[in-house]
Formats: sequence, C-alpha cells, structure tokens
Amino acid sequence: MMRALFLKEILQTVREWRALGLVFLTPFLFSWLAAWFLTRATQAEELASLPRFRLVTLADTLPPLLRERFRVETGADPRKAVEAGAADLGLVVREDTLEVIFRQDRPRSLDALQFFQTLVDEMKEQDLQAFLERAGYRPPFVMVPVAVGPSPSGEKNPWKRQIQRFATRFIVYLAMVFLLMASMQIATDLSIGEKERGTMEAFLASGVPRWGIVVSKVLVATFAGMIAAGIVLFNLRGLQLGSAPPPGTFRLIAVWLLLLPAGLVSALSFLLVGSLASSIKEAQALNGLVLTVYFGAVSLSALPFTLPFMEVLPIGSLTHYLNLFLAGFPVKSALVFSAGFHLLWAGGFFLLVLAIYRRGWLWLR
Amino acid sequence: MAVAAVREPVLSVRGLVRIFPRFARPPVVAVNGLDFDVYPGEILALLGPNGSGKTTTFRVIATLLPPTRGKVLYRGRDVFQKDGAYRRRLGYLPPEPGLYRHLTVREHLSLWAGFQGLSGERKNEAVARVVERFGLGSVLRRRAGQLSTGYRQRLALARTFLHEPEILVLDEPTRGVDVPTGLLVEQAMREARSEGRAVLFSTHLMEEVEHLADRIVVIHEGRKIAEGTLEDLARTTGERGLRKIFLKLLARAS
Repeated sequence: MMRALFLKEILQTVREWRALGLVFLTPFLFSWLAAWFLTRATQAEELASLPRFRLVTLADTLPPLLRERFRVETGADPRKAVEAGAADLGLVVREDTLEVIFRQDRPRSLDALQFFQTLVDEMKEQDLQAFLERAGYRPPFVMVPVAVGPSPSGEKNPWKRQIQRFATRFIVYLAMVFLLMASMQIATDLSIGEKERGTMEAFLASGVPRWGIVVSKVLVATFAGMIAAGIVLFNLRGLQLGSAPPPGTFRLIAVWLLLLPAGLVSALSFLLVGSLASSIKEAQALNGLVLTVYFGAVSLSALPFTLPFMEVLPIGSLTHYLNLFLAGFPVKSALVFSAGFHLLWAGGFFLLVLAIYRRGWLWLR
Repeated sequence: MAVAAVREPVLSVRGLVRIFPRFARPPVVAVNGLDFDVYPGEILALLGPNGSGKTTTFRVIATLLPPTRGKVLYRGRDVFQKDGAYRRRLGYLPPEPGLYRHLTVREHLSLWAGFQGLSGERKNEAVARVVERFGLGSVLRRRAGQLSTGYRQRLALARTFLHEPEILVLDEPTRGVDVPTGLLVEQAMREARSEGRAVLFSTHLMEEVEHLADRIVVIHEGRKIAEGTLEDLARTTGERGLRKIFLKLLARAS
C-alpha cells in the first residue's frame, strides 16, 4: 500500500512540467549561472593589495587544517621555500606580527592564502586568544601578507573582495533557498493543488490510512527539495570560492545530508499550510508568512553563535555552521546546530500537524 | 425487491446534522437530523433539489466530513470511531470524477488496487474485471486528461468498483454521460445489487430512479420528507410518475 502511495505521489509530481522545472531545471540553470559569475569574479583577486588586519587565530589549530590541503613552511626560512615553489605558504612569527608569505603568481599559493584568511574570519576569537596566551604570545597580533614573486596582471576592483566574501556564504544558502522553494511548490501541489483539482476526495475515501497519505506527501515533498538542493551543490562543487580549495565531494554530500532536517521542516510546514488553505493563492500567501517566520526565527536563534562572526544577516546565520563545515571545520558543530535545531522545528511542526489531524481539520474543512 | 426490509442494515444514518460555521454570518445547516438505513442487496436513491444536502450526506458517509451531531453506523459501529476498515469496504464516487490528469487509465486502476492492498495476481484480476465491465480496454494507455467526459466517468466508476466494496456511495454517477455510458452505469449498479452489495446513489434523472431504485429517500433543506418504494410514495402523494411525486413532496415540504 505504501509503495502505491509513493508511486502515485511521484508520478503525479514528475509528470507536472511546472514542478519539474522548479525542482530540476531552475536550480540547475541558476547555480550554473552563479558558478560562472562567481568564479569569474573571484579568480583575479589581487591579494597583494589586502590591508593589514588583526590576527584573531593562529598556530597549532591552524597548521593542521592548512597542511591537510597545502604545503606550509614554518621552519627556518619560509620565504625561500615559497619563492622556490617548495611551499605554498610560509608562516613567520615575529614579536607581535605574523608574516604570511605567498607567491602572488601561483594560484595554489593564492588559494592557500585565501583559505588562511577564511579560517581567520571564521574562528572564534576567544578560543584563539586563549590558545595564543597559553603559547606565550601577547595580543594584539597583526598578520602581514608578504607577497613574493612577480605581480600578476589584472585591474584592481574593490567589489571583488565583497563578492568573494559573499561567495563563501553562498553555496549552502543557495542550496537552502532552492530546497525551500522546491519543497514549497511540491507540498502545495500535493495538498491544496489536489483539493482544487478535485482529486483529494476520492483519494481520502480510497481506504488508505490518513497517516500513510501524510507520510507519503511529506517524504515526496522533502525528496523534491533535497533533489533541488543536491543539484545546486553538485553544480557548485567546482566553484572557486573565498575558501580555497573548492569543497570536496565528501563535504558537499555531508552538507546535503545535513540539509535533510530543513527539508523535512519545510515540507511539513508547507503541507500543513496547503491542507488548511482554501486555494492555491491563499496557500502561497501563507507560505510566504511561514518562510518569513522560519528565516526570522532561525536567524534570531542563531544570533548568539553568529554575532562574533558579524553574520547578522540571514544569509550568514541560516547556514552558518554548514559554512564552517564546508570551510574545513569538524562535522560535530554543523551536526549539532543544523540537525538538532531543524529536527526540533520538524518535531514541533509534526506535533502541530498531528494535533490538527486528530481534530479532523486536515484537508477536511 | 422488498426482501431487504427483513435484513439488518449494512449502513445506518442516525440523527445526522452537519452545520458549516461561517465568519460573521449565520451558519449553514446543510443536513438537519437525517435518518435512513441501507440494506445489503438493495439500491437506495437519495433524491432532493440542488442544495438539499445530498452531497454533504454522502461526504459524511464517506468519512470526508465529521458530523456535527448524529452518527453513521456500519453494521452497528460508528464509522468515525474506527474508519480504516470501514473505508476499505466502501466505494465512494464523488460528484467530480477526481482523476489525475497525468496518470494513464492503467496507472489509475493499478494504484487504486495498491491502495486497497491488492497485489500480484489479485490486482491484475481486479483491474481486468473492471476494465471489461466498464469498457476501458481501448483507452488503457491514455492519460485521464485526454479522455472524453464519458470515459472519465467510466474510469472513476471502475476505480470505485475495483475492490468489490460492500457499500457503494455514488454521487450522481450518470451526470454528463452519454446514453451508452449511462446504461453501462445502470448495469453495473444492478450487478452490484445482485451480488449482495448495498448501493446508495443520487441523481436528478427521475427515469433512472424509476428503473433502478428499490427504495427512495427524498430530502429537502437537509431534512427527510419522504421514504419508501415508488409505490409507497405514489400512494402517499396520490400521483403517478416520480417527477410528479417528487414535485408534490417538495411543494408540501415548502
């Protein structure tokens, strides 16, 4: 019986061109376009012109992450090693300064510098301060990028830095947006859409248990959202972002799986709205409200964690821990935040749907 | 035809009231204290003018709407207490066919058989039986959206009859169909009766009721105004022909 239910929902979805367009075509085209644009925008960054900035992270926590990806020289003469091409990045600790030596004509070296910068941006200041004090350093520390080798050609563009920073937050956010949009479209179509087309009555009276109907619709809407998010992540996997190198396949798959709770939450909530609305237009208006509440609540609840990173906008806070994970941080924090938080939401919505279902309101108004 | 009266009813509607509340306006009382029984092996027609509460009554019987007051009993048990088993014994045809326009005829029937828990050979047999009964063989691969009105209604009926339900609730089964399809529907209802199933249907075609119905329940503004065989109603009203009988009953009720 469940097989027939899933088959019905899937057939109904995949034969609807509008739904297919939103789930498959739009994320594909949009992310392709975004990847092309962002890659062009971030490739020619003139790193040598970067200003000095305060060092908030360093040393023992940093080299392992860097060394997983790049050749880092911290020995007697890092400058010579970088110049000779034996190392991608050289680190020299002075009295209150860290010199980061890179070759501006070597993409690999630029990637290493960029990755280093991202880590500096992302890590918690207090953790690093504590570490540095334990290691005998006294704040403030200043990082000085030291360029070696010939200067690359390319004009200076102040917007590129902004685009680059935006791009580091972009992957997961874009995936999240398409996840929400696709699950919203499918959940609306499978609930109020069925009611408007007059197919719901016969379906409800067909002898199928109501829980089976709810489960099949939620899972198909979630699945559609996950496909859309997967397409975005797959398309952006080779994107040159602020955090170099591009995220690996494993990390992207893990991020995709970590979006599952968000997919469940959105499918459940949009299905609930769709079952209570009296028309598709009403459902769409209410869905906008749900999205606002969802984005607002997630952003506000994430604020204590994201404020130290100056990520007060939804684009940062909504996907903050997944961004960190993508940048090379351990999976634990992303799992705790993303899965835990969204599952809590999903649980809340599930209880709400259950309560409404038990009152006999679901689809039966 | 009169044999049914001595048997236990398979479906009983008791004191059924259904009120639709409205915002800042008086509520609509769609059904107001309706009582009737349906017996196995009989065809019962529910007659009434537009807006008299027929479809609401059918929707409550199909467990799509909970009653405001009153009960619907299946063999003495409230259908809203444990409606899963009851729904599997019910075949409900809504006023609109409610077909998925992108699914083919075969997919509709196959999926509906799956919903009823049929699989393998049993599913194939059930599908083949209704395909033959409703003459759907030539359109099996066509999508529902491409079918004519008559074939859509045939498919909706085939779906309703697929699992050989004990109770058939058919809301205007011949609405908008041509004469051959109408005859097919009538034939299917007669066969269901001869197989011992209870058939409850509504229509605005009085000839259809005269040909098919063993008993008739006439409702007006949510209340029952008459019940009995065609002969009973003729005796009560002193009229001949269901059209005249029906109009007289409505005039009295008004």
